[in-house]
Amino acid sequence: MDLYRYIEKAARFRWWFLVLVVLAPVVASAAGEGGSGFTLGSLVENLLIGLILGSVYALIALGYTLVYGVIKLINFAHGDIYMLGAFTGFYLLRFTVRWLNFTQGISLIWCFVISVVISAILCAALAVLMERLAYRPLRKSSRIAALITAVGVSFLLENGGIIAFGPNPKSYEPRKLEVYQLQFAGSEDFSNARQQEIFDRTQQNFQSSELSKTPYARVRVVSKAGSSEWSPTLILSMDEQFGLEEIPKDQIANDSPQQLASIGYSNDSKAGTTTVSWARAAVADYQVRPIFSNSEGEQLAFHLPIKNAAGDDIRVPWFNVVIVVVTAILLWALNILINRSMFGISMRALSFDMNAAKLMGVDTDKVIAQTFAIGGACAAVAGNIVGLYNQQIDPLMGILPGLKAFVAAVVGGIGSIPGAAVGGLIMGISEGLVKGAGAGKMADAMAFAILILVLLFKPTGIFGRTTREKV
Amino acid sequence: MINPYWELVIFLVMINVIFTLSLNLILGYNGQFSLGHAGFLAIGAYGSGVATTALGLPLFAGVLMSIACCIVAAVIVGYPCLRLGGDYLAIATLGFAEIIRIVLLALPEKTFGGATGMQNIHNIYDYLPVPAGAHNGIINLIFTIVFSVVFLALTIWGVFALGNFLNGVLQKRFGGNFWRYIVWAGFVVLIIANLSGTKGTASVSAKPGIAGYVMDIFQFSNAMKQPSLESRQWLVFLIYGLIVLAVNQLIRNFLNSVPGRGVVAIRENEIAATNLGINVFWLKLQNFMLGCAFAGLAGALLAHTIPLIKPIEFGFLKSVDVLLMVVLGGMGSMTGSFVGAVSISVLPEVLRGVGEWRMVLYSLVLILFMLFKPGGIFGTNELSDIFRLPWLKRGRDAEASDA
Repeated sequence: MDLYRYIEKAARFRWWFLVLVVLAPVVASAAGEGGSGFTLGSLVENLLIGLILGSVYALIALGYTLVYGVIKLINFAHGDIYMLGAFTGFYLLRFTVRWLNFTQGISLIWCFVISVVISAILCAALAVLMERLAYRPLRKSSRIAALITAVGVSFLLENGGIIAFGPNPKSYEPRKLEVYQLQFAGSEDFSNARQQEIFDRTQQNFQSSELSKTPYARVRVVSKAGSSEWSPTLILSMDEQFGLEEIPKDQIANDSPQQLASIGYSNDSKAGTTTVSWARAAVADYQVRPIFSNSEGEQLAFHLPIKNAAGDDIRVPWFNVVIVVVTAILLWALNILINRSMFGISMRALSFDMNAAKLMGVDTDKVIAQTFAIGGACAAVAGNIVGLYNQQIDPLMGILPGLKAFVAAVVGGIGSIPGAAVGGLIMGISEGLVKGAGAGKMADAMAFAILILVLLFKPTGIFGRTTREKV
Repeated sequence: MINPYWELVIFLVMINVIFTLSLNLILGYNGQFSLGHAGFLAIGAYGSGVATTALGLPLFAGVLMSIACCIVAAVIVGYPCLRLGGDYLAIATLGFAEIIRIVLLALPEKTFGGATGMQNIHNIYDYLPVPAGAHNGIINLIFTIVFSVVFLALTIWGVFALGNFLNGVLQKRFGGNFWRYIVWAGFVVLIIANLSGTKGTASVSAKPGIAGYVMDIFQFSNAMKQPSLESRQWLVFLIYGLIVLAVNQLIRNFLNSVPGRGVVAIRENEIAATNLGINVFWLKLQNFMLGCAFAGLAGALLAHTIPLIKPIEFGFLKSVDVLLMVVLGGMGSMTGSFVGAVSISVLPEVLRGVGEWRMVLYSLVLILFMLFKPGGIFGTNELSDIFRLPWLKRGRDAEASDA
């Protein structure tokens, strides 16, 4: 019956508007800097990119649309939840790959799934916390106060993110570890020949070890119990460059030097004495195998029989297909949740009239918190997907996608899940086309131009209901 | 003489006061949320910058042009958004500011400077007489200060006396109250008069706007035609101070006029305002245009004050800055805007050591103020409501005695 309703709604929808929104970027881009216009191949290629972007926007827009539907608040911090989702996913993936893939041999796909699920749970918890601390006390006060608070929370998360994760982008790229040397305090007399010998042995050890096969090498540098401190600057630079961890001092004391050799390090300590003079690490290049790759580390993909601008067949990685499928499944499941479950009914009741819903026995606080949790989880999934898709994340990555997702929610009709999906696709595809035409700078501007056009001609959006404000 | 660093800080404070007042008019008095106010600042800055350099217009024409540009932009953004209830304006203005920034980056570099910024804008000092030397003596300085104060007082008094007279005449002839039109006209005249200076060349010395003409008339000019650096500085402070006061007075008068009361009524209850016969959309749009016009003025002054304007300076951060100024001072309080603008503009200079935690601090202040003191420092009170001084008989006392 749902399907029937949507068809009915779609029939009432003004088609010229969708045509306008999709055609505008094409026309604009044909007239733009690229000049040459589209071939079929580049059109298809950019449409596919747009599809990926669109499904990500749809996932983020979902949080906006649900929260706006329930408490009429533009949750500005939603884009930053998405950023935090990407970061928690990044660290969790690193962790799971180290400890599950390397040590337990669990496949990378499961590592990814686990880290996505955990980061979704964390972000849902954060969204609920945010609602509890910042938005709930303001529910009775003016809407503008809540809106300003939302801006404040967003600003707090961004700048907190800059302080916590550093302002520079973090990259999923495979790291190239090179041979480097650790000089411990209290270095002592070793001839060069002796050093070379140890170094060679280390390298051999490493290449035959499990470590050389793993994407994320956790290298522990330990010294023997009672040894004095090591040079901290070196450890720091290791940490920044290679993502190694600094080992707490007390832990160092307990580790035995034998452990070192087995994981790629070698040190040499004088028998009977406690000082470690130096250690040299030889870590070869390693490659991160992409998720959905074969044993050679090539990304699994299929080819479409259409030539792109470079004259090759268009290559579609399976990961991209997975993104779209996962998004579609999530949106479908949520749509069912909203339309059929008790939670969905109380949520819709809440968005219709909060006081009446309260009188009918709906636990409004709980439902609002659940809404925030769902939005946060979806944003986290989107963040994880984008992180792996772009291979790069940074603390300010949430601002623009957040805004565009809000525009997507408005385009689709705020408060409606199919609207969020359609709006996200419209935004994503138009952005893909504009970028494909070589006017990449203008893609952001166009998103807001679309917003202003939508507000001018169809402010309720595609699936929106026309409501009249009551006294 | 105040050193150039603090001089710039004082200028920025004055410009920020205008900017904050402009946002307060929209956010504080009308309850509409413009989250991309920096976009209008950018339009103002680039409008005046391009008008005075590429088009070669005089200073006042540049300022008026940037105000006009801002009003047009305000209509483009405000017309679709203000018709709707809800918070669409916030997102639309935010997006609009982003569009402005991107467009400024994409515009031809020769005229607009591109990402590196526009460097060749004439500074306000270019419109003043060339200084004779570093110090012309203490007499010159004292003279300038006294002159400034007397001139300020005379101008304000003169404008209002003239306005009152005109209003009386018009009232007799046509009936009704014409104050708001008079104040608008006076505002424009004041800007033209203050900024109508000509840029000096090798042979012709620059004239510092109205102050220069007045000095010519009174033959004070021997000291002022070749002023010392201090005198020049005081003159610029005077000009900027006058504009700040004019903006303050204009907004005050607007808010006390019939449409101004309507603006506040819309903030209090839109539906009730509709029932009172107020054309809510049209008044909101008018108010938004007015606020954006002042933002454009602030931008124009900014362009002629700082050595370089870059698109990146007018980003989201600037919008949040001005939002914080309004919220901290108190939404709906002119005094609050002054206090907020001054404190937030000076705070970064004081908090240099805090580094990147400053932004975290800002956002916490924003959240905590909203949670625990949503009215800001002053709420909707003015200075005259707090210190009930006899000569500051405005605000609620005056309203009460009127009624």
